[in-house]
Amino acid sequence: MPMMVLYICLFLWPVISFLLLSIGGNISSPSLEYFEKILQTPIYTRILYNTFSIAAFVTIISVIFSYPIVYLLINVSKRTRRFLFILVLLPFWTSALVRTTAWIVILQRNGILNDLLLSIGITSEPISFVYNFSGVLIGMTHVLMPFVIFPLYAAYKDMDYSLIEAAESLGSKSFQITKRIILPLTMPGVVAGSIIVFMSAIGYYITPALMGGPGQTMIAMLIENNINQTLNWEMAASMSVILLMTTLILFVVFQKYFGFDKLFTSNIQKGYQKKSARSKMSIEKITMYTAGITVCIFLIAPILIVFPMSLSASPFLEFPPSEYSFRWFESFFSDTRWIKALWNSIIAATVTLSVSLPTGTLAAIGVNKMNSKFRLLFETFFITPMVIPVIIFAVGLFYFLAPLGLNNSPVLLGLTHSILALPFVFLTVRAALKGFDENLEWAAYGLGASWLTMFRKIMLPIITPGILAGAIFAFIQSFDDVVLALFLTNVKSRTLPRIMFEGVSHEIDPTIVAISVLLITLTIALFVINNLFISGKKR
Amino acid sequence: MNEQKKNSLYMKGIEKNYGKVRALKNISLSIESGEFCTLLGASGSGKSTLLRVIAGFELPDNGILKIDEKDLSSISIAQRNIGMVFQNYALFPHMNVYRNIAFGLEMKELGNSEIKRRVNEVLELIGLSKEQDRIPSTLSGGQQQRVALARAIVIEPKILLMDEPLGALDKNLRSDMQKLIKKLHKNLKVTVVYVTHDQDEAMYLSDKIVLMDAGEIIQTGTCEELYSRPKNKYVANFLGECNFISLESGKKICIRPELLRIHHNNTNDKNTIEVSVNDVVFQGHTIKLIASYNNQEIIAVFSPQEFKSNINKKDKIHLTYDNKSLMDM
Repeated sequence: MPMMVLYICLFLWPVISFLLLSIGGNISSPSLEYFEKILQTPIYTRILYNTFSIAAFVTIISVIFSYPIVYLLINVSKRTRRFLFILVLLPFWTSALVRTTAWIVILQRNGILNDLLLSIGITSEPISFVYNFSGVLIGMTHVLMPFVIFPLYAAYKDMDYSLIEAAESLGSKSFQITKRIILPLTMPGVVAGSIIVFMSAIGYYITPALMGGPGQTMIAMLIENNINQTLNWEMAASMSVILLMTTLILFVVFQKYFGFDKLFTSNIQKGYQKKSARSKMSIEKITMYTAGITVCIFLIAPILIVFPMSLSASPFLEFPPSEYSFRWFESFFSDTRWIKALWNSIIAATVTLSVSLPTGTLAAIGVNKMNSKFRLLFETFFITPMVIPVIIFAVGLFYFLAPLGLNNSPVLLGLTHSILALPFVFLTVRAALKGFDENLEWAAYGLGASWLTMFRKIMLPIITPGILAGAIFAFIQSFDDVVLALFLTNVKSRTLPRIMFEGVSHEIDPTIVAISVLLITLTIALFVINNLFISGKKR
Repeated sequence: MNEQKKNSLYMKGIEKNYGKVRALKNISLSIESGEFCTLLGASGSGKSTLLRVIAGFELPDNGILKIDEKDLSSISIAQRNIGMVFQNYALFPHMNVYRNIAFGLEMKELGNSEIKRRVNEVLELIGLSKEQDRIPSTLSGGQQQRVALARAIVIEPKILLMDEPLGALDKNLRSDMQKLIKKLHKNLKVTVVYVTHDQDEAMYLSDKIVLMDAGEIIQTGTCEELYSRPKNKYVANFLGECNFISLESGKKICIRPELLRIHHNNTNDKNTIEVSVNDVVFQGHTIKLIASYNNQEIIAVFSPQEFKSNINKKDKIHLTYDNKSLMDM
């Protein structure tokens, strides 16, 4: 149970000791003065209100946008569906920081969208899309929407198509079918997705910090501000408690009704068997298709647009570039500041992989062996880092590690990243183990194998795709992390995403766009490797 | 160790509970060397649990388990040298046929040439020499089960355990496999413990049948003993059909359908009952007569030659029986 030890030392202990500050840091005489202060200070209640309303908007928009794209996914041919899935998955796998950067490039006052609108004369003055409410909404919806698309698609796909036929034969119009059959039957999927989106949205840091204005300050930013600027630890802790409580309640509801592990076991690539081919193009269908395609463009556009921009020769961001060159890539590779950061990121990611893979795999095997009563308990415990807002975790670690002077090494950063990565490794390996027939294990023992031999020769080769998927998630978790790096690194040990984040929050240098392209390419490469490996296994 | 005791299995007072469920209750059984013993029972009777206890996959809560008079409680699964064949085959999906079969020999750290010789030998035996490079998922169910069988016997186990090995196969394939298993048992003289819920399969294959119900052994014996001298109604019903008749005299009798004969002088003799015919069912190799006697359903089975075709529904006929064919319980 090395996972337990790691969790307790680097996760539970720091977080809880930090949170205790909210009640005055003394369990025996708890005080609620800080909570009262929050409720009495207008700026604080304003931020709480902001946070929840932004999260609610993001959730609603995600749900509304998900329907057309899922409708599209269900109705198109198998090949088109594979293509569309790549469009949905690619942004999902791309670093949130990179996506946010791309959006700022598109949406800012002198950005692509405004250029376009001005040139076709829709507006005479640039519109502010970013550093305000709309910016936060666009950015966060883009990041979080896939969490609704996947469960909704699964629910839609599992729906028995004959139900719709039955309704049609009973004389229902398509509107009624939608209202009476499709909506209720896909509801569980939507609710599951919405809970995840809302839960993630209230604790979000990067996107609102970069794309919002002062009016869009959210709890996570306030916590960060309380630590780094005003040094008000108790206040930060109290805000964290509020945030954490909300998240945990949602998490418990979710775990009770849906279960996180299902997110990874449902095979989204599975084909949908439609029983009747209806070629008739109705108005509803055309509307849904158009909306679906628009959402697809919304998802993939920021990823694609940065590619030509990174190749621009101009010292300013330009789209389409008037001249092409590799100068911004060269500027990245020749600047020791960037190279040092890249190196730090690689060290952290390596540590993350080497810690989280064996630990997560062992934990998954251990949980698999438990009886069902304990299993749910441990499972829930192991995936909590996935749902606890990173900001709370980061501040907790800072509070715990800074006095020990341990907060400035990329190795230690990697170690803390492995806490973020472990739930992913745990879940993917667990999903792989569900497909592992227990009798294979018995058969191996019966033929004289020890546990170690069985593991090496039988179990490991069979669950390797799961471990590999976990490795990719783990790598991305570490390589994309901004929040932990903000608190746990200094000028010497800072990582690539941290410098990018600082760059983006001032002015976007074309080098950052070039780095974004490199990161997207890396994601695509990992994606392809994983797919090749899986299809290679099948053959 | 004398020849008699080699590869024999002995169990006494085996108990196994899952929480409040008593899966095995006081199981005592001995199986001789080279014997083909079948654990027969409905699902939930504890037969598979008992097999898993013998294999070492489950530890009994109580009782003694010995192979060749050696207590197994402290011997790990790997050291028991028991071959196991699973219902779902449990072939290693990432290894080809050859590697699957060789696995157990590799665990024994035998030399490569020795492994090769023995694997080829069993491949020959099961008739899959040509398929040795194929991956299990590309084989048919019957072929997969033959590979599983080969993998279990190649290690020359002290005891070969089979858990409903033919359960997933269709009927024709099943009878081919039954022949193969019978042939292998005869040639290899291995001690076999076989689990099934199919009484025909049990009777075809076994030297000894152990009938189980609700975690208990109900009766142990040869096929003939269980069929002709069942200990109780449950056993009588499980192995074939049986008529339980309360006579007008108040006497209760129990008789197999094929032992009732048509009585041609329509008189009430001593061992005769008058029944009215409800249905005559043609079953191919037999004809089944369904009749009633004092509101009790009576079933009789005849060969087509001895059955008179002029018997129709609602006819009244006399059936007779021999006192020697009655089963006492």
